[in-house]
Amino acid sequence: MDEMLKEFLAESAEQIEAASAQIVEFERNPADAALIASIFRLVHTIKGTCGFLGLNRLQKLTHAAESLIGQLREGAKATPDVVSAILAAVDRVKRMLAELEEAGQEVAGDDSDLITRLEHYVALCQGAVPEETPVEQGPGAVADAHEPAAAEATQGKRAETIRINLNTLERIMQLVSELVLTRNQLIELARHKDDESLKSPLQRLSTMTSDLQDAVMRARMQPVERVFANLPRMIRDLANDLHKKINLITEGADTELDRQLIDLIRDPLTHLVRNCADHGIETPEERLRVGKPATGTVRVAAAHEAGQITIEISDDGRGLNLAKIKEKALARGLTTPQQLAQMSDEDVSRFIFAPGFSTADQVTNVSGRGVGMDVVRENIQAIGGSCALTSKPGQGSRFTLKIPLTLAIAPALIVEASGQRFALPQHSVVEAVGLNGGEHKIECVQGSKILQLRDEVLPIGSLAELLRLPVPAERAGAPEPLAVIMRVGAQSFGITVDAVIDVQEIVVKPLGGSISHLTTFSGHTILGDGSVVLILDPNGVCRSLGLEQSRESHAASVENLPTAPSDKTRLVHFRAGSGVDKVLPLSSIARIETVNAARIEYSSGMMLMRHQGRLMPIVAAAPDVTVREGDNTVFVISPHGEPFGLLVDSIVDIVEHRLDVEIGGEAPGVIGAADIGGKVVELVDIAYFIDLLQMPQERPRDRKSRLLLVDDAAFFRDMLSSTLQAAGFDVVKAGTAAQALGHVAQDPHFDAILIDVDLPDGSGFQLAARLREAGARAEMIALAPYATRDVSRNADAAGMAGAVGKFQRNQMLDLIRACIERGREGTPEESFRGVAA
Amino acid sequence: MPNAMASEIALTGTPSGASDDTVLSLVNPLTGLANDYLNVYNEILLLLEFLPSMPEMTDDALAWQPRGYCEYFEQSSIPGARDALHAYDKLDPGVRAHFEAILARLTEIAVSAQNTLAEEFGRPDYPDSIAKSCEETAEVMRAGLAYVARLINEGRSTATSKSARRAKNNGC
Amino acid sequence: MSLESSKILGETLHGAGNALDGYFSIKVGADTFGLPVTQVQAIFRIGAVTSAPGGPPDIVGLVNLRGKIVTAVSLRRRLGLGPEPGGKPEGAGSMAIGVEHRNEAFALLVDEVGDVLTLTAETAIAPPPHIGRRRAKFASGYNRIGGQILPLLNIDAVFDFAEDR
Repeated sequence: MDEMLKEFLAESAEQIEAASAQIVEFERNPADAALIASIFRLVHTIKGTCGFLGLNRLQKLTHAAESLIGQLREGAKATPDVVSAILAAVDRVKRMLAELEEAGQEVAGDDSDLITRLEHYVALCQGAVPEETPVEQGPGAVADAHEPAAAEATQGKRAETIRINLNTLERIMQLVSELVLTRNQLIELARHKDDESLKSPLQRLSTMTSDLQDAVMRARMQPVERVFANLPRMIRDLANDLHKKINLITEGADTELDRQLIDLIRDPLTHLVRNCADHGIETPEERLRVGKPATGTVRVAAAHEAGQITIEISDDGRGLNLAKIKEKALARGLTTPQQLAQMSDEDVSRFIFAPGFSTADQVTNVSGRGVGMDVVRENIQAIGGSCALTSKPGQGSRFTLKIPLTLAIAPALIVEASGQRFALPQHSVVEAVGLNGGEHKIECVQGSKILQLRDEVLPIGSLAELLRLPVPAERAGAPEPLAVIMRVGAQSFGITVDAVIDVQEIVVKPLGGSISHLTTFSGHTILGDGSVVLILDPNGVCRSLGLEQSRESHAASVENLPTAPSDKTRLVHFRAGSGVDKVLPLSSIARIETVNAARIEYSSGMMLMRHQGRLMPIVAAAPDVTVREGDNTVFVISPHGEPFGLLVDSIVDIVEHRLDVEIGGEAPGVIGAADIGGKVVELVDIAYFIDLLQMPQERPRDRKSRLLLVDDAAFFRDMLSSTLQAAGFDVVKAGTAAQALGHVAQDPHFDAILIDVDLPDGSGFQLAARLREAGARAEMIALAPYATRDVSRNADAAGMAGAVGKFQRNQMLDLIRACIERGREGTPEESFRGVAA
Repeated sequence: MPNAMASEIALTGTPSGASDDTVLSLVNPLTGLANDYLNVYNEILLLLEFLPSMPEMTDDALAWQPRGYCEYFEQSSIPGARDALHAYDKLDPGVRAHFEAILARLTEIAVSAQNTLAEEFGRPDYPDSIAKSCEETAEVMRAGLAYVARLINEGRSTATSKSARRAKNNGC
Repeated sequence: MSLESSKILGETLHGAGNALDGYFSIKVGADTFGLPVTQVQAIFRIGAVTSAPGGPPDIVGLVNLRGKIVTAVSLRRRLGLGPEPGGKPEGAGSMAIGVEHRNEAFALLVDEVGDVLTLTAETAIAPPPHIGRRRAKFASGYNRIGGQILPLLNIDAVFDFAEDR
């Protein structure tokens, strides 16, 4: 340590001389901020080193001097007394250092006179500032959250909060945003450097940055009480005007929300509460007549829910008048009687969100313009939130708003279209689907493009076309290989792009005035590699696809969709047996296979065939349908991931027609009869066949296969695990190599392991080796955005079963099933190694 | 990757003077030490700095364990870890002793801070009661870490040459 | 002109006091305009440009300047001049003047930034009658200097895109 002491003595002697000179200079030029900052730094450094070296006497003295210099740095007046005190301290320090050098250790002494003097001036400087006022910062200074200056002045009284200048807070927010950007830049650079020593500190930096972000965001949070505050008065006035008795209950007023968001929800919230008072609560006479208390209740409750705020606005009034809504909807041409008949109450209630629907009755001039429910919902959706409505006739209604906690920094997908990149807020993206595998493709229906995805028919458009991007020559005519499925409110739709480049946290910056009128963009940002990209606005994209809210408000239900948006369904018209012709909606058929009789095997009275590497049962669509020599037509139906085949005689046609089942069917396997273009056909009941197959039979496996999925992007983890679960697998997720190893340590029995090649704490290939060392016996599959030759070569070299692109659902499932097969049977059948094409 | 920013600022490109070898290896050939080790102390330093406003990190702060230079690299899976250990073996014993003395002092400061935390933790005015001591500990640790970092990155020659220069200037 | 020299230039001018008005001479095509030095934040060459689909055609796109997103506007296009015959298209590498207008940071793309001129009340002249209306709206005044007529660039008009919508 004495070497450090020697060095310290050498340096500090110079430093203390410099400090002395600078203080004198500062007295002459008290406006020189740089000078006082430099003096402060010098003394601060000496103080720290003294502390480290255990030079207690010196540390105490320099600490007192530093405090007073700190006051000067913050704008206190440099009176002659103050400067003299500091100079006296500096002289004492100089002397002590000399003594130290001679004696080899600190010489005992009493500096309390000096220290008291210094502290006295510190108190004076602070005493001039009254207790609870905001701490004013000098220009350009950033508030130091660790320095409770107010607390020091009020000795003994604890300060649990400090007040901070709003501008300062904004500045800190800005700095944090810049930090996030810089971190992204570093990650980008590190990715290309392949430098192991960078990865661990970078990971730490990333965590620290996220934590810092959270901490600062928290500083911007304000209780929603500010928005609740004006509600009681409003209700009271309304109650008076409308001659109603209304009681307002608010809950969760202390729930906190980002400042920016509070301003944005104020209007929608006020409007909804008004709505309850206006339309929901009945007059006292009416209420008494139906057995309710004369006073109606409107309740506004806010609560936290992982990453979101939920605000419920409910009333115990008459609920939505569905009859009236239906009437209005018909009158406005938003629907037809037949469609109405098929709608659930919830679907009907969604009409109130149609543009212009509610404005006629209620021109609520909130912020100076007539506001309808459609605008309310749009405002909520614009900030990434959602708005839902439930109602019970006669009992009341409830609006539920879900709002994300923060706005400015958000995860986004970076997509590419026509050679240009755009950012898409992750909260609006449901999944992404590869279009080259053959299972999914864009179809054209009456001039509009659609995508059939599992049980949904989605409107879809090309991002390049929507934005009218110029198409680079080499791409002309090539269809886009990827569909990004988005959801805005209750409307799902898709956009096709060339690629998803990345998933990144971006700092959302508002558009400049010159382009803020563009509705398809909600902001712009700078990515980790320095490039500027525009951020797509999901609402704007939805609108430019030509989807109007009114249409979506009744076609919205995802689970039950008997009619496509254009009201007709694509049906497969086929023959099965000698009876009447049959139909099935095309959307319920996963694949139409032509199967040679030789491929059909028999076991325990059941028909089976190999499909995608597994044995799949086949059942005849009608009792008199049998296997013919040569080619047979089999519909592969895959309701919940366990596919089965439906054997038919032949396909007549694929038509587009409205499906109105008029007469219920009595024959098993038939839902009922319908009329297609004058011909009577029967709609096949798939549920019947599913039941049929549930009967005890030889199943190749009796437990779900267990997969380990390792990917650092939450987006991909969620998307892929949904896909895999839907395909019948049990999925264990891991976000880092460390987590993956942890899972394997707990239970090494996995049937297959999928690893992202690019993980923050090491490459996926290295992880594969480590997992094997840790005892995992399963085959491993490399995941990359696209399975390029490089990736598959590296996968081979690492002894993995193969590589597959994250959007290649079919190939991924094929490869997984093949690995599982091999694992069970122990003999490799067909070779599945290498790139999944 | 194209240089996406305006060309007045050079974003990419290797820092001047640094050869690719030194960038990739852990051990500084000049001193035989690797500054990756300092992460051991950086961790507790950061925790102490955050503690007053984020008391939920107390458990992490209390769980921090000091680790010696050899211990650290023995446990590390970073590629250069072996090299760091070899280089350390070959260090001049005087240099090593000095280095370890500084580290011992850093550890002493950190452990003392942990003891204070443990004492104050249950009390009602935590973490306000430790705000000041955390700040002071952080300042002192920073001073020490700055010194060690200089040792690792530049070596000891600066001190002696500086005092030698001063002596010369003072004409003794 | 590199940023370094423009910075130094800026400092010298400010140091010289306010009696003189320093104007950068900006060349685009065959035209030269004067722009007060005080309105110029920086002179630089832009890097990669991200286009803004659907935006006003005179906006070439968005550019990253030291971490700030700046809207690049082509003065050429604003003036209705066609692209430079035989010259390279406006984009990465083009010369730009950084100007702030109504809280938005802009990069005005020009062909060249020439010498700094000193313009005073003596050099000011009345607007010449033959200037077309389109061009006229971009000039906020005229000077005669060295025998040439020099219009002063009207920044407000240059960055006001509302008219075109």
